[in-house]
Amino acid sequence: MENNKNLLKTGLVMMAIAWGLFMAASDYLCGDQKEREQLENFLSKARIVRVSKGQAGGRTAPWIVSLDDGRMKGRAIFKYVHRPRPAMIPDSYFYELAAYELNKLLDLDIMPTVVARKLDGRNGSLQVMLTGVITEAQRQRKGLTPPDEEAFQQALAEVVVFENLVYDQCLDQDDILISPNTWQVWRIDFSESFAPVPELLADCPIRRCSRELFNSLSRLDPGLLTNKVKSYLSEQEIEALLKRKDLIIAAIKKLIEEQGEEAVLFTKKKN
Amino acid sequence: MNSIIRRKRTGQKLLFLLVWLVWLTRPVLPAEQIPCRWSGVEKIVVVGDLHGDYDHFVEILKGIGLVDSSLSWTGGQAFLVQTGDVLDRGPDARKIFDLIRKLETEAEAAGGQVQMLIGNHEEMNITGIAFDYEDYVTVEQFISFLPEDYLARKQKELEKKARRGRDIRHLWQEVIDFDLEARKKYLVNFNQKYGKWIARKNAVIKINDTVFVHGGISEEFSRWKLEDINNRLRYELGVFQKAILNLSPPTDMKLEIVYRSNGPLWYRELALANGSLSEEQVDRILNNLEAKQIIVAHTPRLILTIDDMRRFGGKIWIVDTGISQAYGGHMRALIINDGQFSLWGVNHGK
Repeated sequence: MENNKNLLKTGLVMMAIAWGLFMAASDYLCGDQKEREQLENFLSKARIVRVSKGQAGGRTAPWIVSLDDGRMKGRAIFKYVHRPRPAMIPDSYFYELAAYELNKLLDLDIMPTVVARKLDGRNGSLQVMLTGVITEAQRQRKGLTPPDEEAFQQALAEVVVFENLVYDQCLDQDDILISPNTWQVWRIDFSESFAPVPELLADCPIRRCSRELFNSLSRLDPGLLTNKVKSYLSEQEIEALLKRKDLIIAAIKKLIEEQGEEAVLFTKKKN
Repeated sequence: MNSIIRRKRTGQKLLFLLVWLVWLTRPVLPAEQIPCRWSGVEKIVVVGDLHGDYDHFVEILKGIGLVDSSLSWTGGQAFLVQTGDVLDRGPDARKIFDLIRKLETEAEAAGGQVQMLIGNHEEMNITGIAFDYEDYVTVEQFISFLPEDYLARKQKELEKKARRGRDIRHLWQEVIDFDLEARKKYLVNFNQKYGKWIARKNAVIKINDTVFVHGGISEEFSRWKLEDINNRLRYELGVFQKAILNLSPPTDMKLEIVYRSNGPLWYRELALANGSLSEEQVDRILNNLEAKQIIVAHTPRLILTIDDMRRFGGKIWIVDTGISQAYGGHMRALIINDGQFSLWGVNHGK
């Protein structure tokens, strides 16, 4: 009888802890999602204070935009070049928006928030401009080492999986941004992604993946994915994207078979 | 009287035909044999991005003494290197191309050279993507490269609209932005009259121990032979030109040079002081190129003294000084005389 009571107590305590953890996790997720939605709202509706054209380098000649909604001020990058495939030099802000939809669907947090917006009569993508960040090239050049190397490597491993999914250049040191304070890693510039290639990147092998991302990929409903990106991608581009998703899952499963789950999957550490 | 005029006209036609036949039979080097290396050159004058500013280009050439008041070559055996980006943002790229064409012949006859390199704006006009960017192709530039008969027809059409109170310049801007037929006319005519000539230029050249390039040479491309870079670029531009001129359908060729962010026409890192490139990397690039220094343009920089042009202790020199009025009109040129670097223009620029 005493044993049963103890068991019940332990059970209740465990349930309380589990509930607490669940609530904390929900709060965290809601916080992230809420923040993202707030930023999307800000980018979509904030007043345009200033537009600087020709200041930022780069092949898409983006504009730097200052925004103010009365409570918050910020700067953003506006890309308007729109040369979707089959152009011989494909480059489009549509691909930025499609990559961001994927980033959200997979619950990743590697892309700065970006929305579609019209500016000076041009349609384009408006993306949060990160300040106080360095590129991976600058980090290496300065010899800066992250305080938690494993967390940093985990973040890069997720970038590699995402790059394979959207079929973009592998770990381009100028497209990886790092906050030297929090060591959060972002990947920018997807305007040339989504080539209709039903293969993974030849020079960008996937070696590890977070459990969270692997589960998200495995659970990702092709219909939902198609629905989210069909405004931005062609049928062939979506078809190839779905194929690459399946190839990534198969590649990770094969790695798990060969090396064991612990060597391949990790539970994300927060920097 | 009439018969005299007729005979004169026939004579003129024959003369024109003869000149044309001689021009056709001129020795044209196969693309893969176009030279890109010279040694033993005493004086080199380097002029950066011009962006359609003919007047400033002429002022620089006269100021340095490379041409006289009638714009004839007086530079003797000097080499003039124009590092690309003659096109876009300004009005008079066509006049600059015409002058460069003339000076090429005159300089060569005098034992000198005029070397115009291909910049990213030349690439963007040959491939047609310049139209995707706001304010790149100006109204004056657009008009200047349209075929004459089409221009006359279009001008008449727009003048009619202008009589109803519309601004003619605004109307031309609308043509640039939305009239796909007019864009096609521009691209075809530009490529036939100038694009083919531009595509026979180099992206990168080496004179003595100095490499000249519009954007820069990344470590990846420093492992390529200069000839391979130039030939590959010419090949890729040729594929675009054939597609534009309807000689072959568009392809999805893998671009190795065109539009590559670390390719010689777009790479900026040698000029940017953002700490993304180390001196060791610059040394490796120079070592691979077997060169002492690289001259780059593409990234505008305010130049007040010669030190402002120099990076990495003189291993990199930046010559995009914003010569065009579109960039402030700062007329500068780099002169390399017997290995000594000097700056022209501080007291001449605006």
